[in-house]
Amino acid sequence: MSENTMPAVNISSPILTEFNGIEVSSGIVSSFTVIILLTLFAIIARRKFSLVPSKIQIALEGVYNFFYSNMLSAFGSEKAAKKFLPMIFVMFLFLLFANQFTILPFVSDLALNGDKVFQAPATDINLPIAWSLMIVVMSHVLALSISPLKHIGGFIRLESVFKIRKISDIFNAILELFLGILDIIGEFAKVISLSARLFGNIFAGELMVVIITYLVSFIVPIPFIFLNIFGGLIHACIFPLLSLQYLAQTVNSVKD
Amino acid sequence: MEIEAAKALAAGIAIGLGAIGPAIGEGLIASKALETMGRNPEVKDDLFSKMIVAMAICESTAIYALVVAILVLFT
Repeated sequence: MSENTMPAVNISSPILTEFNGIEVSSGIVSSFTVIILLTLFAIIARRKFSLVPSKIQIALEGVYNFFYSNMLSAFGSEKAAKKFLPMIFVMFLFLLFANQFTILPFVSDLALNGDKVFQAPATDINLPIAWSLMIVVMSHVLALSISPLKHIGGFIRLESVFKIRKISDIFNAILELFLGILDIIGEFAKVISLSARLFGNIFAGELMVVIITYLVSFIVPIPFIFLNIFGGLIHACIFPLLSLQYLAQTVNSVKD
Repeated sequence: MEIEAAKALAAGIAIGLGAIGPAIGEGLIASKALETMGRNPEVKDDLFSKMIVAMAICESTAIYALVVAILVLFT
């Protein structure tokens, strides 16, 4: 018989066990399962690589070319594009598998003491925040390692202060300083927007499917599940694309 | 006013007002894209994928409103 209680909604992922002092939540279990599945997929797909490509090879090469051409146009140089391509491509592959993870048949039903064992990894808020923080901090560290003074000078713009000759120049200087501080706030906004986009889409999609399935269990959830699949694919493309744009923007602003 | 009533009201207003802007924006994106596809049918495939990317980025503010509504309602 179906349950008649409203499904409990929890934003934080439930903690399952403890392992040497580290709390293992269902988000961690799901992420590691996706990693194992990805590795198996890579090993199996790699055996069939040949000069006459199979279907999987065609698909993977198509996506590889998509990201590579985007990186070339963003970075401008082939060396920089090849340096960052593995990270961006692995982000895409992980999200591709992770966003569709709960569509597999019995995955959402496993429970341990009433807590779900598996959930879509992106519904744990820690994953999107960790990835966005990593990308933004990496872009700043790279820019600082290339040319620290120029990078900091882009945020704290003191050169207009030194050029004050008339009274109207003071207004210019204050405006430039204010815009520099707004840019600093913009960096925090990048972290929040990147993570909130991924988390909000995946979490809200799952929530909607759960609630609709509770209300009408038969044919009505199908469009919502399709929406989830489509949205998961799109956001698997958009997160790496936007992070490579942020990287390229920051690095190219300090390059000459 | 009880806290539950305030939470429900806040969630409703948050997502209600937050979904107006992106809807208009996405309609504008789609209209420009379709107009260009009609005028120049050979860029159809290229333009379609870029349109989808632009729509997903335009959707972001609606998603922020949704996250705020969920946070208010469930914590």
